[in-house]
Amino acid sequence: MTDKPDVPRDATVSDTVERIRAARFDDIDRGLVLELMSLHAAHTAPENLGRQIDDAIMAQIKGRG
Amino acid sequence: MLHLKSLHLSNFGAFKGDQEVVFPEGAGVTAFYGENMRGKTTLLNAIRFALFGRITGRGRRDVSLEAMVNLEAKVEGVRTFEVRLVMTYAGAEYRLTRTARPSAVMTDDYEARYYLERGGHILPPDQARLELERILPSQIARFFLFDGELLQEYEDLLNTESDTGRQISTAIERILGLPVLTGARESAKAALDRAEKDLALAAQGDQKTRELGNQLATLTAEREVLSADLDRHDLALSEQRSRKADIEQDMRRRERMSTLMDKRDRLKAESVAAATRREALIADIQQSMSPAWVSLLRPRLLASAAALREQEATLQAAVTRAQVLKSLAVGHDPDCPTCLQAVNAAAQDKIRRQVELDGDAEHDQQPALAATRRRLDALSAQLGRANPEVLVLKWVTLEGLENERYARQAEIDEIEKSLSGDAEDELRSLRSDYDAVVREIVVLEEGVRVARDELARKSVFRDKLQRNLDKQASGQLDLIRARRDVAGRLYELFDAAVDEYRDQLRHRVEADASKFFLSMTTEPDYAGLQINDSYGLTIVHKDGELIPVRSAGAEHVVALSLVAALQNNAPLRGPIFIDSPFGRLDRGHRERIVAALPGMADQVALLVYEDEMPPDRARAALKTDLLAEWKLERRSARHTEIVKL
Repeated sequence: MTDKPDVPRDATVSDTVERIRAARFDDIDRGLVLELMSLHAAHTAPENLGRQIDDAIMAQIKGRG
Repeated sequence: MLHLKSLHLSNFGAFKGDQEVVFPEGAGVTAFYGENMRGKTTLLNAIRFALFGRITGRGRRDVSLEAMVNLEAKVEGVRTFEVRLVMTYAGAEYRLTRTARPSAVMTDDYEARYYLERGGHILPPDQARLELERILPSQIARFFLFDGELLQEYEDLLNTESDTGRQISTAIERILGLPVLTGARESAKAALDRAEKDLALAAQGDQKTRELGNQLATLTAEREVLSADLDRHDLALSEQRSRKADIEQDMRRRERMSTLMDKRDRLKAESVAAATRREALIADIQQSMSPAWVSLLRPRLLASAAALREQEATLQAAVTRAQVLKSLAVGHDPDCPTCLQAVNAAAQDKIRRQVELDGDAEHDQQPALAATRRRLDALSAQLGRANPEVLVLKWVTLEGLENERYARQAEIDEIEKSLSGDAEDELRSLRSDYDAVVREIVVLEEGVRVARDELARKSVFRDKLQRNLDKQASGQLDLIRARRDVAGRLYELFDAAVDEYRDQLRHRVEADASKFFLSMTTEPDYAGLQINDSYGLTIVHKDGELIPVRSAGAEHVVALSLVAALQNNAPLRGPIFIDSPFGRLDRGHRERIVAALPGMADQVALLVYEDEMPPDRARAALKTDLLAEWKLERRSARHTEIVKL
């Protein structure tokens, strides 16, 4: 097991992803990350999952001009 | 959070007629006391049936629905049973009704149906299925409904190569909420693949980049095939590992039978070897018996042999005397070999005269001595063959072999009585299946390795092509390239998040499991638990050393600590039903575990027999956390009533 003492151990899934995004992936929108996570929050994948993800990615690209 | 409000049973197992348990609203423990065979496990099965449609018996085997109809009611003509659960989840009240009745289509078969109502409105089947899966997925049932037997399986987590352990680890990560991240990662990867494919297609449409586009499209198609192969292999591997784990569990449950079969086979092999020894001994005895009549003459033979030995000694003495006198007479030997005195001339003269008088005594006696010796040898050989002691020893050995043969055969018969033909065939078939599955896994693992290596090789080539394409591409491809880059970054982000969150979860589970373990164990020298990559827990001594081997009782305490820690860290929380978990624990541990129950989940139901945990001790340990007590009272061998205390 890896041991990273600087990692907060009580962080939620969202907190963890956001911390990584902010530190190493700030070119990726927070909203896009949350969108992807929300699409996987249900126990069964929504219909047209791939299409919804592609649309969300395109929205980020267009949003950034 | 899921909270059970009531459980209604209708002719389910030992519970005849309509019976109901109403659970208290607040957080705490509900105790059910019942002697053996009163229906504690059936009560746990009622919850399992209502939520998942499954009923499990000993060894985690599914029990047929028909077997669960109350037997007294069945005599009275009842053919159906029903379980109804009223529960709250996410602010809504649900009523789940599951019934079992003879199948309308298949004779001799039963079918179960369920109906889910939310806020008093019945849900359509598809929605009911989704809701139920959301409220409590069946894959994580083991963390909510369990008994000592299930707790024992957690030991497999310590073996990172164990397939059962792998299955449990997956269930643990599921309850801890990891699938959100792994699902997002897989979707980001799929988005990346789609973007790369679209990029190749777009590049093919531009004359400047057509060649690169063609190469990229070919490569993408090849990677798709490889990925599909890999997915297929991964899926097959996961299925085979799961099957192997099931077979291992089944074989473990049949361990006693397996041991008996091995013992029986060993005894049979020993029998064959003993039979060969016995046959050789019988042949030897037969050979020894033919001259056995000689033993009747043994006393006379012994007397003759003694007389011959005496004669041999006399003749030998005469021959020796003649040889010595001859040697002294010719002067070869100056000293007498008897008295070692020097032989003077007078004595030598006397000796010469005696020799002349005796003639060639040595020559005369030699034939008689040789003949005596021949007779003695022949007589000794006869005596050897006619030795009754040797013969008796052979008979005793044979008798011993016979006794061993009967004892061994009796043991084999006894073992075979316990091994019914079907069960033995099943075990043989299980072993054969196991070997086949292991072989299949080896082949699939090799397939996965080859596909991964090939994909990695092609990825390097793809990266090179894409770099070239990026250099040559016109602005028309910018949007697709941007899509590809964002999808790639998303994949990297979620990949990192999966690793990091998994790491955090392990730390949290380890810390919480240690806390629960220390509150439950009576051993003051233990400092806590250490977790491995598969969520297996090892006890840590306060001097820092790991305790590698632990007893079945310690195993239960560790497993309960893990379940409690998982409940503490899971986004999905619910009631815990524990059936007779104290089988191998001493009184001190039992009381500490009972006292720790309220911390494990908001709603805990404890099913115990009174000797295991007498009500007064449960009350003393739980105090105000003991919210309700029920007793499973016998009405008859086939009828139990649930009575509130």
